[in-house]
Amino acid sequence: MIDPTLEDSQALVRLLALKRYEQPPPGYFESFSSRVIAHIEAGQEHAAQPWWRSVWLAFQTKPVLASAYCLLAVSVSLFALSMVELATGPSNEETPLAAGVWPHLNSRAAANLTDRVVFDRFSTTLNPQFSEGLIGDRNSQPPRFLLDGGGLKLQPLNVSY
Amino acid sequence: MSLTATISSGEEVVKADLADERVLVKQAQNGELNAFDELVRRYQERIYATVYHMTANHEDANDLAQESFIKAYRALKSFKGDSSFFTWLYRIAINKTINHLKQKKNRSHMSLNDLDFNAEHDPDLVSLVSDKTPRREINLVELQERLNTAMQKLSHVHRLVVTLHDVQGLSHEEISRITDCNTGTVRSRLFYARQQLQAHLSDYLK
Repeated sequence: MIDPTLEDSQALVRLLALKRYEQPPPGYFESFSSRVIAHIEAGQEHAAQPWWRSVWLAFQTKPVLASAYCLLAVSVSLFALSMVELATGPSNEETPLAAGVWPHLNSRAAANLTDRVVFDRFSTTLNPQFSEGLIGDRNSQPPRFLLDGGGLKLQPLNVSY
Repeated sequence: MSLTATISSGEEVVKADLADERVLVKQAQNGELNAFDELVRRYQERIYATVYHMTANHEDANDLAQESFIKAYRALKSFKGDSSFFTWLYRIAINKTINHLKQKKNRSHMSLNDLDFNAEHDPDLVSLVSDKTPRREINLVELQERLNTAMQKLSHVHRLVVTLHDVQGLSHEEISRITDCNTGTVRSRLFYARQQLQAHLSDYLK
């Protein structure tokens, strides 16, 4: 008596033989090797050219890649710039803006004036109501000690809104 | 001509083929593309068929078979001849295919090749389908789909041994060399894979 498992197994092997009849489209293998060789030759040409040319070609064919590289380059540059800025830091000998304009002022007064002018300009540009709340009346005069020397007349900022 | 003489003559042909292959490999290692072209022609059908039966997809098989040959050419310098070129090439193709299948996981779909005209005249196949329906051709196509679906349900290693042994007709020893495991493992994998297939295809096997 034949073992049913063995019989099934033989039937399965016969069934699997069906897969040998699955064939690719006619003529498929006639051009297969030439396609492989063409790929290899193209790869050799690609390897022979200088690296910058390969990069340039890659950028030409893939704009997304080029954009990504540009973005990366800009980010790295900005990061490097900020690092340099951080490393050098603000100099102690740095002259306040007002001291350059009004050399007769002492350094503390010049620094105060610079801060005031910068802050005033900034706050009125962004939010005039905010500036009013913080620095009071826009028409008020700056402290007298700043305006006494050299006939200098400091005009309050004229903001229209 | 006697049987001994025929066997002897057959062995000589195999030896001559192997010697010829070594020369071709040497030439290809020296960059001669004509020699590599000859090697591709020798193995293209077997490599394509292995990849195709593993993936059940003609387009994937086409890409993977080509990539396998290209990779083999680039790695040819590292081929020392410890195994035959055929075994080495098979390993490359199989590794590539299994990596591809792992990446695709369940996202793959079947794209089956047409059955050869001769399938309708295979007595073994005819005996499996002829008593079920008079429309034999339609039934063979259906059978092909069922068979491939069942194959795709097997794990990669089990599908591989079935493909190499039952479809391609390689021996257990050849499979053990290609897959780098002992023949016992090959036999047990084959046994398990067949059991699974029998369960999936029970309609056609009773």
